[in-house]
Amino acid sequence: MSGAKERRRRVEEMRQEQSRRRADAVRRRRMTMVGAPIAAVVLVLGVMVVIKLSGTGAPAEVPKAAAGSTVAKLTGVPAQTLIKAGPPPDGTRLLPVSGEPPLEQDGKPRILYLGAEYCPYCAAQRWPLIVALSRFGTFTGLQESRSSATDVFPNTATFTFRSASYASPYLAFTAVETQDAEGRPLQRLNDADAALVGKLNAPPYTPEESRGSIPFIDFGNRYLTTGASLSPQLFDGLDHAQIADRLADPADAIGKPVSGIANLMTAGICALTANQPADVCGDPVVKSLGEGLNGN
Amino acid sequence: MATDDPGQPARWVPPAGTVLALTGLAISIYLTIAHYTDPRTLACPDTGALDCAKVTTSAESMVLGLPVAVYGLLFFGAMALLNLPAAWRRQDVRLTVARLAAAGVGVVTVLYLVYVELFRVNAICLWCTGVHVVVFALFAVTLIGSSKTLVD
Repeated sequence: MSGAKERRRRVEEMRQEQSRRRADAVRRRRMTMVGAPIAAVVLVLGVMVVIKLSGTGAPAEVPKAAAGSTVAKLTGVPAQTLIKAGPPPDGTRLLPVSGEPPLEQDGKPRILYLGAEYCPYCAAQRWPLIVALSRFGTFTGLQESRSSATDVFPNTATFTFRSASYASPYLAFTAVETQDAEGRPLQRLNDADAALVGKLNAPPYTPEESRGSIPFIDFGNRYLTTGASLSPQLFDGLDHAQIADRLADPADAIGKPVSGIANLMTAGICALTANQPADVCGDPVVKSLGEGLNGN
Repeated sequence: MATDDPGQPARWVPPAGTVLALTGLAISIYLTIAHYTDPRTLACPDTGALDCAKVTTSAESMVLGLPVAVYGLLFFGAMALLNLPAAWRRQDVRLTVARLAAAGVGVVTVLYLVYVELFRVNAICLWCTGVHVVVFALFAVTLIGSSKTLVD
């Protein structure tokens, strides 16, 4: 009798043990099913953050927030000053683009800028570009920067678009700064824009030897500029506030060409926005330059 | 985590999933409205590294002609339906797999968007980060809730 009882007790213990093992196995499978994907996601996020913080980030010369008064002078050049400055220097032009569909975003014409912070020609070209775009919308996040200290026209004062955003009811603006002032990678064109730049920043729009050069600005696939429309030499030895001050004088050696080139860019933009806003596109200088563009 | 009902998720899972999906939906609606009106209206600090407008107006903010915020809206709408308590109660494996697949697609998309913010746009949008946190939490809740159905 006692032998039979002992057997039953052992069988019962074995059943309980098997049941416990099954429950443990199920619990482990559940933990794996939940834990492994979550751990994988956290790992990928962690790797990205570490690469960002340790790799290309933290450049030695970080652009600093622009002084409000300087930005105000740059983005608010009075209409009368621009009119008095007149057309751009001789030989400055927007190159007409043919055979391309309009470049748009959200149903608005889009302007694509490609440059780099080290590049002194980009540094020069940003001044009239910001003046022109500010007539159609508002910039936020513009930062003061300088071109490379070791390139030609070293330390040209300018503003980087790396953290800037632009809002306008008339047009969209995409800016890509590919490298910082020391030539380290910064931003990248998306694939579609890279293909577009590859096509337009090349002959017949530029000489073969200038293919791919910066700055490059595509005004809605209708006009483009390659290279600087004014020499960085003009800004030699000046800081941001000094240059901004001189924009108020339409006869100044800096104010006149910057405003004149901004007027030409404005005319090109007006051709994209169906001459809106009327007060900007109806300006006599802009109107006259626009007629010249149509004659291209 | 477990309940007495075999195959049923823990009691907290359905309401947690619903609340998270609705939170994500609300943020997506806000981002969509901001996209189509004025991105500068986003309540977000603008300190260079943190800049919502820069992210939401970047070229990468559009996919196939639609703002990413609209895809978020569709995603959270679908997740809100899949996370209704009635949907959780139905121990339909197809429903469980659909919920898991949607959560998986969501979290993979978030990884891509974080990559874009960090390495292409070089700015972080706090509202977008809020959405990313919600998607990740929804992914975790879905995994926890589905594990019992699929493993038991």
